[in-house]
Amino acid sequence: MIMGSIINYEFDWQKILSGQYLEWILQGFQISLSLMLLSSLIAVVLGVLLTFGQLSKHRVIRFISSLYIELCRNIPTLIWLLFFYYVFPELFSEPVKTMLNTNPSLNYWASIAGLSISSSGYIGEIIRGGISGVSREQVSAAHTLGHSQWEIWKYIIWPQAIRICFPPLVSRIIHNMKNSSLALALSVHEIVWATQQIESITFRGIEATIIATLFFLSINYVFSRLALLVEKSFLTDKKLINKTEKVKDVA
Amino acid sequence: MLPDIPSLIKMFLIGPFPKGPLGGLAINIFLAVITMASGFILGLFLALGRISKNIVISRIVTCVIEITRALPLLLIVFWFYFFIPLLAGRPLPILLSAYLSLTFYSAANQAEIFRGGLMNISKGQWQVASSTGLSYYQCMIYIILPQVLRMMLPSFVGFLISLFKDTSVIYIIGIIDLTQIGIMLSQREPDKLIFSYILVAILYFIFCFILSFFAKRWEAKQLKWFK
Repeated sequence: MIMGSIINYEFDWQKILSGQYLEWILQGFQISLSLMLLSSLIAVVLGVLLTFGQLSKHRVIRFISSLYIELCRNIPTLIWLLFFYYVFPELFSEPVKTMLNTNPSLNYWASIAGLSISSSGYIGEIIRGGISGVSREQVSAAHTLGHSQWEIWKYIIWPQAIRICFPPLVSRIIHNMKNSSLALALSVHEIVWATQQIESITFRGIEATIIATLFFLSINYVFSRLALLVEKSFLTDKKLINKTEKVKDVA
Repeated sequence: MLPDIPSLIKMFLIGPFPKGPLGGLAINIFLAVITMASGFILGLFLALGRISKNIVISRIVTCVIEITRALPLLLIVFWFYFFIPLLAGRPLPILLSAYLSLTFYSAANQAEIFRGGLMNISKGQWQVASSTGLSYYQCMIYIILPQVLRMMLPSFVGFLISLFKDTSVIYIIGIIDLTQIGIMLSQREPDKLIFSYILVAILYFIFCFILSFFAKRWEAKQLKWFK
């Protein structure tokens, strides 16, 4: 009986993949992609800034950055999006407020802001974790050898920190890409919005959902492959691998 | 007639509960806790399936886990919302549909946490345990799982926090959760817009902060334990 009801459903790809619906889907791909890439980029930049904030010598800056991180991590992304869309314009006085509220791409920029801010807290923590994974002795040794602060960051801390924090960073960015679907709540015309719209007009929700699913699967697959490639070709210490292999051989 | 502040706060906490369905923060907590629990059990089986020696089972389970983890929760919710009624022949109650999709999502994620723990336990333990005559299940229950749980406790708590935050998504299919109440209030009374969003954010913040505070303490304790 269950199989019967599956078979009874007739897929109608023709209808979805034509005219306005196809246009919505293609536009959805485009907007989703731009949301994902732009918000991830901003989040990484903010995350790096936050890391410096947390490592700063000034107590006030440290406090502000940890407060920011706690806010990012403990408030759902969806609430951030809604906040930037509904509350943010209210914080301004009249001319700016109307300008923001009548701007047709307010929802798009609010989603970018919300996504990147809520990810930046996590990314800041991840990068800080990578930096604190570099042993202090190396830094002091470099100091004694007469390297400048800049050289120490460039040649000693960053190369190692990036190796440590690359995998969690990638998984966080993938999470951020998945979260981009939340922009549906602000009716940004991204791919899940297209799905919903098609469902409500043609009742062909399943076909549209299949398309959105394939989109996310392929984005995920491509991105994680790329990350793996980068990690293997740039971030792996080949000498280290040879060493560990030798140790294994001996063992 | 404007409702006063205490009854507004009650609305945020439990929704229109005594008269209507349970809602507000209570439904978020309720859903997070029960889907965590059912996802925990399902996730354990998925993890065991993934590391199983039977290649067919492990391939299928790996596929299911990877696909689920690659999709946004929103799409999983839609899948259950559209697809299950097609299988069952009639629409599901939205609460059940939200429960099923969140369980599925949390099971796939917890399966990966379990797998991480299981991978970290050395083969020697299995060999020693089975040489003392324990069966696979006894070995799992008495030797391996307690260690996995202890090792992965911070990850589980971390996932509970993220699951709790993710439950805010279900307002999309029409459950009157905390987010939905915030949106409803702000639309009904535009002068309370800032108030309602700030209150929603504060309520989420307090809960997640308490949870992450405990997670950090457990982690510190555990580090001591391993030393």
